[in-house]
Formats: sequence, C-alpha cells, structure tokens
Amino acid sequence: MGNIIETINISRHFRVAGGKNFIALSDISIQIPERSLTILKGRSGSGKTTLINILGALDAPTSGKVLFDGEDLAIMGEKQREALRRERIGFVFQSVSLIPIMSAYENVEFALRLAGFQGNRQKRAEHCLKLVGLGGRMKHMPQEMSGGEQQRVAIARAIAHEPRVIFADEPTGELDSATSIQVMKLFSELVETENMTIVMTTHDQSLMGMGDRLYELQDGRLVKGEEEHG
Amino acid sequence: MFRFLIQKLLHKKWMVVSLLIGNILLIAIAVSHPMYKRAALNRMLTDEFETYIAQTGEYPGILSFSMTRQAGGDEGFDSVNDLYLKGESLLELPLLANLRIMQQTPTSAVNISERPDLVTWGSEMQVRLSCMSDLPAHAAMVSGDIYNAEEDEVIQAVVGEQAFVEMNLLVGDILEFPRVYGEDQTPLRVQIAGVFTYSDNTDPYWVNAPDSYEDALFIDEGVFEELFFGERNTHAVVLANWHTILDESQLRAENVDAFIERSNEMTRSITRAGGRITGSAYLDILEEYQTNCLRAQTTLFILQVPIIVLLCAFLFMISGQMLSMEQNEISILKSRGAGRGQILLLYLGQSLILVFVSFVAALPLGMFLCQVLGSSSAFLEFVRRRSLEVFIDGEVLLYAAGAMALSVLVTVIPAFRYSRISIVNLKQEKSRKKKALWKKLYLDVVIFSISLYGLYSFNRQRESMVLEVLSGATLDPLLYFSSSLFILGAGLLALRLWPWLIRLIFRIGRKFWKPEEYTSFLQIIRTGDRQVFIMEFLILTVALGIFNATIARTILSNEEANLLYQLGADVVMQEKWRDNSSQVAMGLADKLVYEEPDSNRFLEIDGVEAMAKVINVEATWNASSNTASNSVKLMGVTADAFGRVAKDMGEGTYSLVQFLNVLGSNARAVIVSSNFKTREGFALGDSITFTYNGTSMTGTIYGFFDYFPSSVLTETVILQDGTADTQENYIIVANSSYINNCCGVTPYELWFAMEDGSPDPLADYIEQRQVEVVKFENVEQMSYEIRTEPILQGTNGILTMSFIVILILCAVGFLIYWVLSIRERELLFGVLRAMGMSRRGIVRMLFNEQFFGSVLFIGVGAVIGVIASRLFVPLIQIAYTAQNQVLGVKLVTEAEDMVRLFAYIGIMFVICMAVLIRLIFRMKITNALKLGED
Repeated sequence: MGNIIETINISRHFRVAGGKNFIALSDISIQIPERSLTILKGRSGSGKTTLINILGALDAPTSGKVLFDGEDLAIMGEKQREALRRERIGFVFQSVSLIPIMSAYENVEFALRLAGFQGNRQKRAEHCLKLVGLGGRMKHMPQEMSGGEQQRVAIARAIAHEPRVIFADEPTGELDSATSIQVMKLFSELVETENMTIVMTTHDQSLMGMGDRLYELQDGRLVKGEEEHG
Repeated sequence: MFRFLIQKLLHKKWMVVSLLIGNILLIAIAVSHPMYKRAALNRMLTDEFETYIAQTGEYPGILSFSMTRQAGGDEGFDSVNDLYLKGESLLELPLLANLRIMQQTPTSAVNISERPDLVTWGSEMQVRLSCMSDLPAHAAMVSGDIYNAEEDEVIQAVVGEQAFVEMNLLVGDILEFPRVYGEDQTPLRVQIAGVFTYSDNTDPYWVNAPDSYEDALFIDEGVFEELFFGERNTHAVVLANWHTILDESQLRAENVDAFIERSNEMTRSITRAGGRITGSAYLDILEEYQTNCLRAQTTLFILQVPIIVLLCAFLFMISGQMLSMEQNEISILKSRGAGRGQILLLYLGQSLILVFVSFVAALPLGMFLCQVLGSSSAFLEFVRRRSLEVFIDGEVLLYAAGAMALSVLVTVIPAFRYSRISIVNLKQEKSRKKKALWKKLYLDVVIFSISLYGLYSFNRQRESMVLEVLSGATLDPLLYFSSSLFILGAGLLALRLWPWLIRLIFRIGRKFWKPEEYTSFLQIIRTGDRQVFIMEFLILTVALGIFNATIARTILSNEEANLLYQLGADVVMQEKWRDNSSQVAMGLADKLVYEEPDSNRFLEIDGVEAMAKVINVEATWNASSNTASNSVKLMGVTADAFGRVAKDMGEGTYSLVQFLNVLGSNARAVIVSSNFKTREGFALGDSITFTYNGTSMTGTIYGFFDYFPSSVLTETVILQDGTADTQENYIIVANSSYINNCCGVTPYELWFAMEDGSPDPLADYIEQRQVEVVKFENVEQMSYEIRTEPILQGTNGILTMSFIVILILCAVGFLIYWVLSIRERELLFGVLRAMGMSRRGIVRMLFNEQFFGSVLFIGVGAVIGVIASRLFVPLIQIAYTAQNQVLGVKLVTEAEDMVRLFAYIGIMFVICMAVLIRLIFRMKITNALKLGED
C-alpha cells in the first residue's frame, strides 16, 4: 500500500506582532497511506490545523517538502494547486462550511460542478447523500438542519467528486459524542467501501482508536507517530 | 456611555463616513434653501425695480401725495403735513429725500424794474410764489445767488432756467404782487436773486426737473409759511405736493409684507385727512413681487423635496445596514440585562453625535451650495456673476434643526425593530423568510396606479393649468409629486418582477451554468429580498437623475427655441427713419413719406452673415363682420433674403422654404395665418384686401400657415381682473415689393443672421457710428435674461445640485453595500477557494451577481427615468414657459448628461470591482476559514 502523501521535514513559521517568529510546525515528517483513516491528534494550538491546511494545499510550509501522489506541491503553480483541490481533494471543516444559499442537494451538486464531474451529477449527488444517511433531506437548506446533519452533508459534498483524499479538520468538534461516533463510523465505512483516504484532526481522546494511523502533535512537534491499527 | 459610543463609531469607519456624508448633504441642502431663497428673493426684488426703471424711465420708489390748503387754515392739511414729516419713521425705511413743494395759485405780478424792453413786451405776468424744502442743498446757481432766508422788505427768489426765459426776467429784477400782502398790508415785492438748475441730475430729489417749474418763483420755505400761513394773506390757497423718496435698496425681501402694510397705513391716514395719493408705483411692483415670490418659494421647495426624501432613504438604509451588522452586539447587550429603552438611547446618542458633527461641516457647505445655485446658468453649467448675499440667521438655523431632527428620526427608526432582538430570537429571525410588507400590500401597484391617475387628470386639465399659471398660480405640487410616485412605483414594480426574470434565466441554463454563475444566480434568487432597498435606491437615483436633467434641459432649450421663433432671427432691429410727419401735421402734406436709410452698410460688418428687410406693421383688412377686430399684422418679405435669416423651428406641416417658394412665385401672392380659415372660411386662391397707411391692397391667398417666424396665432393674455384669456392674432405675409409698389417705401425692420448668433458686432457698430435705432432685440440677450431669472436659475441650480448629490449617493451607497456584502461572505469565499474555485472564478461570480443585481437596475432606472420624462416633463414645463409657449414642447436629453451620469456610475462600478478584487486577492484562505470558527 503506497503513500498518497508524504511530508519531509516540514516547518511552518508565522510572523506575529513585534516581528517575532511563531513556530507553528517544526520538522514534521509523516506518511499518509492510501485507503486509510489517519488521525492527527493534539490539543488546541498544537499545530494540527496548520498541518492539515498544508497537506490540503491551502497553505505552504516555510521549509520542507510535501509530496502529493509523488508530486512536490511547492513546484506546482497556484492554478495547479486549485485544480488539485478541485479534483483530487475534498474538505470537511470544523465549523459549518456549507454554502448557506444552497440546499443539501445543491451543495453536493455544486462540488461536482466545480470539479468538472463528467458523469450524471444528479445521480452521484443523490448517491452521496444517501451514503451519509440523508437521502430524505436533500431539499433542506443548511439552516434547517442540525449540526450533525450539516456535517454529514459536508462529508457528502467532500466525497462527491471522488477525490483521492478527504481532509477533515475537527469534523466532530461541534457535535455531541453520539453523533461524533456516527461520523467516525461513516469515515471508516468510506475507507472500506469507497476506497477513500481520509485525514482528520481531533482532540477527542475517545475517537483516537478509530483510525488506522495516529500522529500526535504537541507545540508543533510530532510526539507520537505511525501507530498502525488492525 | 459617550466614550463607548465614540469607540463604537470609530470601529465602524465605513458606516460612519457614509452616515456623515448623508447627514452633511441633508443639512447643507436644508440650510441652502432659506439662504438661497432669501438671496434670490432679494435679487428678484431688485430686478423688479430695475425692470420698472428700464421700462418707464421713472424712479418707482416715491410716495407722492398732494393737498390744497384752504384759505384761512386747514386742520387736515396740517395732519397730512405731519405725516409727511414722520414719513421715515412711519415707513421704517431710510429715505433718499423727503420733499415738499408748496405753491400758491397763479397770481399776477408786475415787473417794476426799469427796463426799456418791458415797455414793448409788457411787464405783467401770472406767476406762483413757491417753495421747495431744502432747495439750496440741491440747486446749483446758473447765475446770481440763492435766496436769502431773512425776510426783508423785498423778498428774494430764484427761478429755473425755463421760467427765467419764459417770464423774460433778469437777475435783480423786482416783481410786485398787487394781491399778495407783505409787511403792513402793502403789496409784496420780490427780487430775482438768481437762476438755478440741479446740482446733480441723478439726484432723486428732482422728482420734477427744475425746468418744469415754468411759472414758479422759489422763495425760502420759512418765508413762504410766514407769508401764507400767518395773518397776512388769509385768503391765499396753497397747493402742496409731497414726495417721500424711499431708499428701496434698503428694502429686504423679508420685510416686504410689513412694509406694504405700513405704507398702506400711511396712505390711508393721508386720504382720511383729505390728502390725495398721486404716486405709489412701488406698491404695484411690490405686489407683483409678492406673487412671484410665492411662486419662487413653492417651486424651489417642490424641487428640493425629492432629493431630501432620497437622502432620508439613504440614511435609513445605511443606518439599517449598520444595525443589522450590530445585531450580535445588541443581543449580547440585551442578554446582559440592557433594556430596550437603553438600546434605543444608545442609538439616539450615536445619531445625535453624528448629526452635530455634520452640522458643523454642513453650514459652510450650505453656503457654498447657495453660491453654486446662484451661479448656475443652465443644467451643470455655471457663470461667474455677482455673488449672492448669504448669511446665517434664525430661519437658517431653524431649517438646520429641522433637517437634524429628520436625520435623527430616520436613523433611529430602524433601531426600534432591532432593539427587540434577543439572543434567542436572533437565530430564529435569521432563518425565517418573510414576505416584504410592500409586496403583501401591493404598495407598488397602488403607488404606480396613483401616479398614473395623477398623470391622466393633469393631462386633462392641461388647458386650465396654462391659464392658472399665467394668472400667477404656481405649479401644482401634486404634479411633481405624481412624477416622483411614478418613479417610485415603477421601480418597485420592476423589483417585484425581477426575481422571476432571474429565475427564468437561471432555469434556462441550469444544466450548463458554470459553478460561478450557478452560485451568483442562487445568491440573487435566495437573498434578493434583502437587497430590495439598495436596488430601489439605485433605480430612484438613476431615474431621478435622468428626469432632472431632462427637465432642466427641456425648460431652457424650449424657452430659447420659443424666443428665437418669436423674434424670428438672431437680431431684429429697426433704424429710425426720417419722414415728413411734421409737414403732415401742419397740413402741408397729405401723405406720410419716408426717407429710406442705407441699410446695406450693415451687411459689411464682420459677423453679419445675412440680412433681410422685413416690413412688419399693423394694418387692417376687410373683415366680413365688424363685431371682431379687423386689425392684422402685415409682414412684407423678400423670399430669398428672408429665407437666409429667419429660423425654421421645424413646426407645422410645411417648411418655411415651401411657404417662401409659393410666396415668391407671384408678386401678389400672400400667405396668411390659418385662423383666417376658421374665421372667414378662406380657401386657397381667395382674394384678401388689406389697408395700410391709407392704401388698399389685394392679395391672392397662396397658403395658410400655423407657424411663421415671429408669428403667434393664439396668444394667452391676462385680463384686467387677473384672469387669463386667449386672443387670436391674424397675420398676412406679402411680398415686400408689392407693398412698396402700392404704398411707397415703407419702414422695415432689419433681420440679421449673425455668426454664432452673437449680436455684439452689430451692437458695437451701432454704438460707434451712433446709429439711431428704435428697436434692437436679440436672442442672446433675451436668453441671458431668462437664464438669470431667479425662478429658472433656482430650478437649474437645484436640479444640478440634486444631480450631483445623486451621483455622490449612488457612489457611496453602491460602494458601501458591496464592500459590506463581501465582508459578510468572507467565510463562504474561503470555503469556495478551499474547494478549488480560483480567485478569478470568485471575481466572475461577483461580477455576475453585480450585473444581474446592480447593473440591471441601473438600466431599469434609466428606462423609468426616460419614460417619466416623456410623460411628465411636458406638463412641468407649463409652469415655466406658459407665457411664451408657442411651439410644441420638445423633450431634450443631452447625451452629455447621460454620459456624465453613466460615467460616474461606471467609475463607481470599476472602483467597487477593484476594491472587491483586491479584497479577494489579499484574502488568505486559511484566515477566511478561521473566521468561521469564531
């Protein structure tokens, strides 16, 4: 099983007020294997969101290399990175990131449009929504749904265009534990049935055991890594 | 709380700046109204007096009254004299002079000087002993000296030059009055001390020129009273003329009403005491001024209302926008225990701070606006001319206070709604979708129907409106109101239909829309209701802008077209002709014969393009009935020359050239005004006989015209009782050669076509060569007078000002709205970018949104503006040109104005897009996404 993403000694510094450097990430080298659920663990401020943003080509490291399918993200242009995000990546964010003016169905269908999905968009969107258990709420607007439902729509949207990787930043952050476990189960299923690769961050201890691989961050450093689970 | 407010304001720079702009404009416009009104009215007042002086050559500011003092004393006389003495304090206006002339009835006098010529010519004469108050100060002696005030045995007198000659006097002559007693009941003796004239012929003191006193011997006033009011000459009857000469330049517009009242009170007292008012021309002028004044005030007010309403709408909108941004703060404040009253108080405080800051800036701006108003010569055109007297007084402050109160009101009203929000129902509120009230009540349909009804009924009353305006009434404010309602209603109607249009477009291309278009259409469809206000605002500004520009342009160009038509050519002049009228008067000749001057010399002047000799005289014709007037205007033209100078205004069925061609085809051909057809049943080929200067002529009718340069067929005239009526004028146009053959050389006018229409070369020539002219009229001068007439100038000024304000509001409103709407959606853009939408994609999305939102409505506004102009401007026009309107009203829209309007809007659009693009390109996706985590 090959690695879809590999980072080599990446660091990320931010300039903060007073001209000082804030070191958000320092010397991180991780590998994300294909068809796996990788969990980035850490407390608030540990650098996991920065890391996932870099992995998802939303941000670039100050030093080090990120290889996506063997390609160096740093030598890609902005256009290629946009295309990468559009076609090969799906995002699920902590906060509700649905487009408020679109219904559940339209949100998913929109992602397909954006990715230039060639097949039958309607079928695919409906399939994805059924997959996350929302087959009956397709016409609903985001503000008419609960937080868990919205997050499931976001997941359906993230997987709709069949990306290589899904990045989920604290996808359960605003959900109660029962709903969180449902979302995690959904992720596991997606890895199993749809051959997805999922990278997610969380600070929730109870969810740690549900991933295939776990990296733990503390103050921008990797403290624990490459734990393989059955 | 004050510090909290200031911090809150500093936090919302954009909003505060827009609110300040709105407030400053509102207050400045409000204060400019009384300022300009005052200045304009004063100018109107001065103009009225100046016009009177120019037309009559007389000074109108004189209250003249007279009374005869009966023999043996007269109480009434004394009280009238008292009123004369107290004139200045009674009228409360400074006087230039206060003059009393007293004269005895003519009495015989004998020149007892030893002069041989008196034997031949006789020494007896009829004279009046007279006195004039303060004469020595205003007289200059031609010979001899002024009289001595001391009463000696022989009283000293002075005479005017004319009297001096008429009475055959020499300085030093002594006259004896057999029936006037001096001391000891002996006949009075008067010595001629000198001959006087005025020391300054512009001195208003000289109501009557010195030469007009042909039989008066002026003696000292005190001596006169001693002689005739005492015991010596109890039989004497004295006629007194009083002239109270007002310094009318000291009369301020605001005091006119009170002054008229005081003046009337004084004249009543004079009449009661037996005096007779012989002159009070200023009262008529002032009364006419009062009528005009009311018209001016109403017109200026009506014109300003729409812009004030627009500014209020702007403030309301921005304030609402600000509140909706602060919903969270409000709900937090409320959750911490703040009551609704406290929230309202907070916003009241904020509003007051802004209003007072604006007030400071608005006063000078108001004064500036006022100067701008006073210097506008046409729409968006200004001339340098004497600046207006502008000052700040109670009325100005009152207007400022009113505007400030209005501003506070409209900015606090939205707070009433928002102050109800609590943290609980904030979320509910956000998710609920309500149908707008105006849509539920069909306000758009209602407003639109009302305006159409207004239009319909005004169109029906058109004729009577013309008559009313001519008899001094103002334009019905409801008319202007209807036009505003039309724009408002049509705008709302468009907004009701708009979502359906967008939905249709969206549906049609649903399958093919790129993600960018897809999002922007959905954005418009799903959140369109929130944008209704800014859309309506855009429609209103654009439509009003076009409407205003059209009114201003149309009124002026129409006035000028009518002037040109009624005058006939750029310059119309008539030189003074010599004739034998004195011989005719003495019976030495029986027919008037004229001597033709050499008119061709004018053709050689640089700047004269063409000249035509045009006979333009009053004649009579052989009407079939004698009940109506048979006077007719007879014009004699030479077809080809006339064609080169006369202006064809493009009215009527046939062109001027066609008329001139038929006229030139036969020496005896005439063309006549079409009203001959209705009155006499004339047809083409009929003969018509007309008489001028005792000579009968017969012409054959070759054509009927409705329009012919300088001819007004139907004229509206004001009758004695102030009502208006129409009057038919009959015109016959014949060939000059025919008239000259029959009547001999007939005096003609010279019509000129000038280079660039400028009369200056001709005027200069006339001045240099001292050509005597009896008529010199030119379009340029007339048009200047119209342009600077206060009502029209005020109208142009206000329309220009409104237009500029509209541009500013459009810009600010547009910018604010879009910047805010972008800020609100930053998270969404972050998500879209994360999902791989490019920056250009987002810009395209916004562009599409702006196009189908704003740009579309700018177009809708333009269409509504044009339609409103077509429907209402011809009616509004009546208020300005009823008097002169002969030609049909032609709507004028200057492309230049439209270019300006749309250029400004275009620039705004570009600036907005630039701001947006910058915002989007600088936006960090990761930061934008973090926004959502708050």
